[in-house]
Amino acid sequence: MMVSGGHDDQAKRRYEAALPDVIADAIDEELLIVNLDTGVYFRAGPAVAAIWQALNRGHTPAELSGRPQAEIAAIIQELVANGLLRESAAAGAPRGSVLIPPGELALERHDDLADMLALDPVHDVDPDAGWPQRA
Amino acid sequence: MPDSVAIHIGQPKAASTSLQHALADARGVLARHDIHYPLRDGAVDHIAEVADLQLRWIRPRPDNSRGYSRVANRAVPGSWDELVDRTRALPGHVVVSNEALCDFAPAAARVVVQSLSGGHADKVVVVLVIRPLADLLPSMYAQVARDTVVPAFETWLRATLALHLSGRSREHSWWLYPAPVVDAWRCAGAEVRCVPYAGGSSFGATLAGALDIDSVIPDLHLTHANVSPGAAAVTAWQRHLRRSGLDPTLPQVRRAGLRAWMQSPSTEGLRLADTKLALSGNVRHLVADAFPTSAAHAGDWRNDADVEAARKRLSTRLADTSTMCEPPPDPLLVRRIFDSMQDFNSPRSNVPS
Repeated sequence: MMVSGGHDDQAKRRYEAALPDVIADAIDEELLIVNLDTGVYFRAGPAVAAIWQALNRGHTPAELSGRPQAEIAAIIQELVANGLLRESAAAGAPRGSVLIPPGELALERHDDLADMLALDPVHDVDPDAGWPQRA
Repeated sequence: MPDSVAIHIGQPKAASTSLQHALADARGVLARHDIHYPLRDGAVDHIAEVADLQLRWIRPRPDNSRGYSRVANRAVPGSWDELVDRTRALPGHVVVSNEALCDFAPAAARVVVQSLSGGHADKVVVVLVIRPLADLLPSMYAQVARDTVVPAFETWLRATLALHLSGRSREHSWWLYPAPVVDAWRCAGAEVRCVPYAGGSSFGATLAGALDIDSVIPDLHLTHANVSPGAAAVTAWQRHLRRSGLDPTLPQVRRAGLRAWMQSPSTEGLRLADTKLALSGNVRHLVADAFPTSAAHAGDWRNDADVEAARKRLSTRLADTSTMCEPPPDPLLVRRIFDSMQDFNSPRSNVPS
């Protein structure tokens, strides 16, 4: 999914974690986001962690400072494209500026757990005949 | 038709390979006493047959091509039916072993028990070796790291637990919830024997007893071992790759590096192994109360309420971030270790041209 509109438009939107299929946890400035539906998980450093936390507290991208808006927009787009973040309908007053710390604005993708989920036979239940059935 | 059948179902990472090699080596002696371990040529266990059976139920989907291929590559078409026919034609006592059986849902377990016993489930004994979670998790991590790129152990651990605690993958939580595995095979009509995983020389005797072969071989000689670097070692090694400018996403790089590390005779390597023990100890501290996965406790987990209670305890402990802070390996020590290894003196030599 792509975020439509230009940077100016996008910068004023609000975003939220794509619950309930996504859970996230930031510890020691490391952000871990798990897509429970696919089993794919993502790791990111303190800069992305700060963006993630600010957006989920209701800040708009325009309120994030310390990094070029184009870079912030790009990582938000990546989070949205991976189904981790979505636009929020919630409206709110400006919340003030959040300084994003230095560090790489990138997501590290891991799918070793997705393999495990993909083999889960519960996904292959035949609703009529039950499980298991010969292929 | 055999008088009895013993099916070893794992757990994975709990001496399965050692047991299978020991059984394969002892086939001749066992057969002379009417105990049979029927193998395909060149095999040491029944992975090809079990994968063949699994393929009846799992199907390739756009999002699971890699997972499906892993099973499909192991399967030998028709081998499950051949194993069933061979087993039913044998007299005495028959032993079957593959740790993938640990994943089987109740209906699939029933197919296995009924097929191998010719409908006489009361003749079947299922043996499940249960390894404490605190030892199992670092071992699983090391195994995964051999096949794919993983983040640091602590990150992987959080993702793994988060996924399984979410309840989305219950069928694959054999390591987190041993009781449903036990129940699946009991529901199939088999007697299930849980054996606590243990190191030391007496474990072979314990396994032989559980498999009912101790009358011939009172003490299985478990010599084969998959030597795995610890979680801390894998983490340190991957950091080294990145520091060296190597791309850890290249399978050739990962495999060559791990192999070199595992073969390193340096005393520094042994010291890093100590780091593994320290890390395992911390994991033990984290999960010991929440998930006491011993054979004794496996028998206690008879219903969802028990599992939910254990989940809640672990979630509470995970929320305490201080318990998740492993002491990282000393970077200078790690660097000296890898610098001392010949393969890493010219690390780019590991990259295929």
